[in-house]
Amino acid sequence: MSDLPAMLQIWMMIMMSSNKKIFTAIVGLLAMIAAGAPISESGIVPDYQRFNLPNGMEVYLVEDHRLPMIDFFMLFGTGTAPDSSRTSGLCSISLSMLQDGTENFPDTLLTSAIDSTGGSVRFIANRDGSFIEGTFLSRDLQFSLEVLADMVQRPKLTETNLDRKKRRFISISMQRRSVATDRLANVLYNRLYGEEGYGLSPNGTRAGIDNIELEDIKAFLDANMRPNNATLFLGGDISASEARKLINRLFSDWQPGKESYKPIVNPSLPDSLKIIILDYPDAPSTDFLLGRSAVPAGSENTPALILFDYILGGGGEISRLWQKVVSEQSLATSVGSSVDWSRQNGAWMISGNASNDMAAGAILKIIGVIDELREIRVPFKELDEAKNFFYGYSLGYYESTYSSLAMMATLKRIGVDQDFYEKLTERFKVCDPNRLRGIAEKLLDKKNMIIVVSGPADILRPGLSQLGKIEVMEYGEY
Amino acid sequence: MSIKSSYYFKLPLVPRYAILINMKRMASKILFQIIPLIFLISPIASAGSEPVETTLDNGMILLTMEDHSIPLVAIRVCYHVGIKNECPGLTGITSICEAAGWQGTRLFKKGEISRIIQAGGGYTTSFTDWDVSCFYTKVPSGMLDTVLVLESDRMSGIDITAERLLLAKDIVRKKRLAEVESSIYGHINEEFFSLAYRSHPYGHNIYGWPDDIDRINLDDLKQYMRANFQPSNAMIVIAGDFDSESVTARVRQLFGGLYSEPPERWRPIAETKSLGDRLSVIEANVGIPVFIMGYHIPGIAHEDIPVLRLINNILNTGTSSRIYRRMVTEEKSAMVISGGIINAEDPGLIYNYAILNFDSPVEEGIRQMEDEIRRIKIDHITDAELEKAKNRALVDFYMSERTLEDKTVTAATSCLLTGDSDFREKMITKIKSVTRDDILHTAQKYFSPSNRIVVIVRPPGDVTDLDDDYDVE
Repeated sequence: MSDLPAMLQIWMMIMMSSNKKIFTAIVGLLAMIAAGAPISESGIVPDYQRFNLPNGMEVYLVEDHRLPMIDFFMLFGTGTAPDSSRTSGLCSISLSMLQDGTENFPDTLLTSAIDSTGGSVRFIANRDGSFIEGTFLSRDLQFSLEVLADMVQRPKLTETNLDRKKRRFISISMQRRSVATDRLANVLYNRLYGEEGYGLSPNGTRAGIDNIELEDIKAFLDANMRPNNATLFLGGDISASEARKLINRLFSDWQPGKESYKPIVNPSLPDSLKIIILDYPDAPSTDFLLGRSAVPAGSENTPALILFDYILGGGGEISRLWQKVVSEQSLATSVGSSVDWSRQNGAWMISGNASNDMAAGAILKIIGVIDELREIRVPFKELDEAKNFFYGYSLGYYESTYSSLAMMATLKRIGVDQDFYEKLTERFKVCDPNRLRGIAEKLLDKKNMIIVVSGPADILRPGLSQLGKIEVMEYGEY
Repeated sequence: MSIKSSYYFKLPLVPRYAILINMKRMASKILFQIIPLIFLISPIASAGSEPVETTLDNGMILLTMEDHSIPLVAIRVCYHVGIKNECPGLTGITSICEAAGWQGTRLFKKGEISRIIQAGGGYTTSFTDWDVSCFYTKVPSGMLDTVLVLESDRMSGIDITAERLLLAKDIVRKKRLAEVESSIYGHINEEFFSLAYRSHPYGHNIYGWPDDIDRINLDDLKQYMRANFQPSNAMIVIAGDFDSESVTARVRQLFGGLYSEPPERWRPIAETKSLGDRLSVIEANVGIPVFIMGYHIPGIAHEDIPVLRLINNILNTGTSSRIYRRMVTEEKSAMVISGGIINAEDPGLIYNYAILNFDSPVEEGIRQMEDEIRRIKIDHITDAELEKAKNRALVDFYMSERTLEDKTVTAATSCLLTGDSDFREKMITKIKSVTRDDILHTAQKYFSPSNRIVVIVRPPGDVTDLDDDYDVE
């Protein structure tokens, strides 16, 4: 807690001031002082123990006795990126089949056993990695790890379950097609990365899913669900020493595999602005997505790009895009930007929604804001506010056991050191307005961007044609 | 709108592994190893201290919960006003008030509140739901005082002008366009509630009906805001790294002198009883059919709610739940099954929804779900199912205490919606004592056709062949 008497002294100044501008300025100053005061640069990541089993499995343990719960994340260093277009969806389906029974808990006994504790296990496939995550009462620590060990070492794979999974994933891909933003992302990634690696939809295509055989699943799991490709993050109401013994007992016999295949992502940068309209004549409003490939999360440019993205559109309603496009000119219902931080060059995207008649104007304005950032340096004040935001906001990443483990697993997945947020000040030190402008010049050249829009082509075409040649596709094509 | 669970209970850890009895050898071995653990009954843990409640002279309630595990503070300023307070013709007015709260106050210009908070390393947002409108902020603990000043200024009077009204209405219209009109799932949501509530205000969306948004004028807004967004109708919940005593003094200083008047609440009438079930079939641009089936239930403080929570767990929580197992695992008719309970102050809903597999007929999916709901009305559930549902509720309880935000939601929901400081203890007692008979009788009480609402969404060209039980509207 900060020094309250000092704060109150400043408040006395405020209360005595009748000038509104001075009042506001002092509150702002107070906020900056307060923000600087409590945020420690060190110690935001919870203490953890890290060790490796002889078979290569890496383990992180975090003791946190605030609640009688435990969480775990088992991360595999293989995600959906190595899928081939012939069997797209292979990673996601393989992972989800781990919940369909093991040698010790065949068929539905596995989920019955898990549910009976009140706990839950979830499966998430990402482009760079796959997770099995679980939440249990701490009294069930041993049981939860036994189940996890059983799932990854002794899955029971059947044709019946594969058939059910394939139907489910085909349905998911059909259902997601009714969500315009998903379609836009599919088209953008496909154009940025092609028919492989990051360009494939993590959930697969119907054709790809149809091609998957049980042997493909077995081969995938055999190659990738191996201890030397796995990291276990376990935390909560545990004794680290007891947990370590348990992990040794349950996972030491797990045999390592060969080095897993890691895809190389080579995004192709377009040499001129590409505009694609997914024609949806009856769309009540227009969704849009502008993007290009960014830098790997482990790049030296990452801290600058984090700040730059915040100022551009990641900062919500105080960002440049929101201010210029939504607040000042009411051209869009929403707009924001984000980086899909990845082990390799993930996508940097600006997304938003606008009424059909305003959408082209909103996109033109966005391009204008980008050009301005390429030409004029960001003021120091704006940059300092962005840095302050992350100093404080990053505390929240480690608020609970669950969020801490999730962040630790994410950093591992995208190839970034665990001390990334510990050392933000140091990392941000080199980020001055010139550095940010350099980022803008390098990464925000509109000729390297792709714009994908979902809405009525007749209404959108005239406005967007000011930017370049337009390709129109049927909404149902993707 | 979100559904939050908010209750404490203490469960004796009776045989929760009973379901494993017929397992094969290895499973039995594991069972044998863990059974002794079930007798280790530990007291309910809580991260941080229990809430301390203080009522200021002007009626405003302050709840503080210290938690020094991380230097953050969450501040939730809740006004006890939501959809349920909106009269016909004034739908959406609460959301307009909420949006107006960001358009500038007497001391801060539009955008300054967010800028100050974010520059201090925090974030801030707001929302409106059925019963509550709330401004929420999470900041490093050194920023708490700043946030209290900002919120005190906002509570002392949002400076409503014609221009700010237009801006606020524009925001609500845009949100409606993006979240309801442009989203098929937003449409389904709106259709479901409007079908469920014919006479009660819960039937309209938080963004109101478009014509009402157009018609609301400056006088309407000022009057509504004066009556509802003021201290006697407000509660501030603060959780995190601070000293309760000094912060309580500071809150008294900043908020205690604000003008307050008794809130004027329009009490809505009860929902009209149906003669038959309510059904709507929508043809829309969905890849595959979706349907949602709900039943009217009482408000959050009713004695049947703990039982209904367990029924909800039995039906749709987890992959071994009844509806999931039937429709996803066995019949393979659905790819997603979920559901929940609307925790509202006035009568809410228990619902299940299914996103079907691409080649599954809607009528089959509906019959399977109905069949599972019918089954829970006819036969007792097993002891193992009851314990599983209680264990799940226990996990949910702890999960609702994980973060400072969770804690403020839990505390505010309990106090504002029930007005009963013993609400949590009563909930604990009730859930501990729920029996299989309770489950059976409560299911029979609420799962009747005349209490049912069904919305079906199918892709163009899909033929829905419903039997004679349904009269398509």
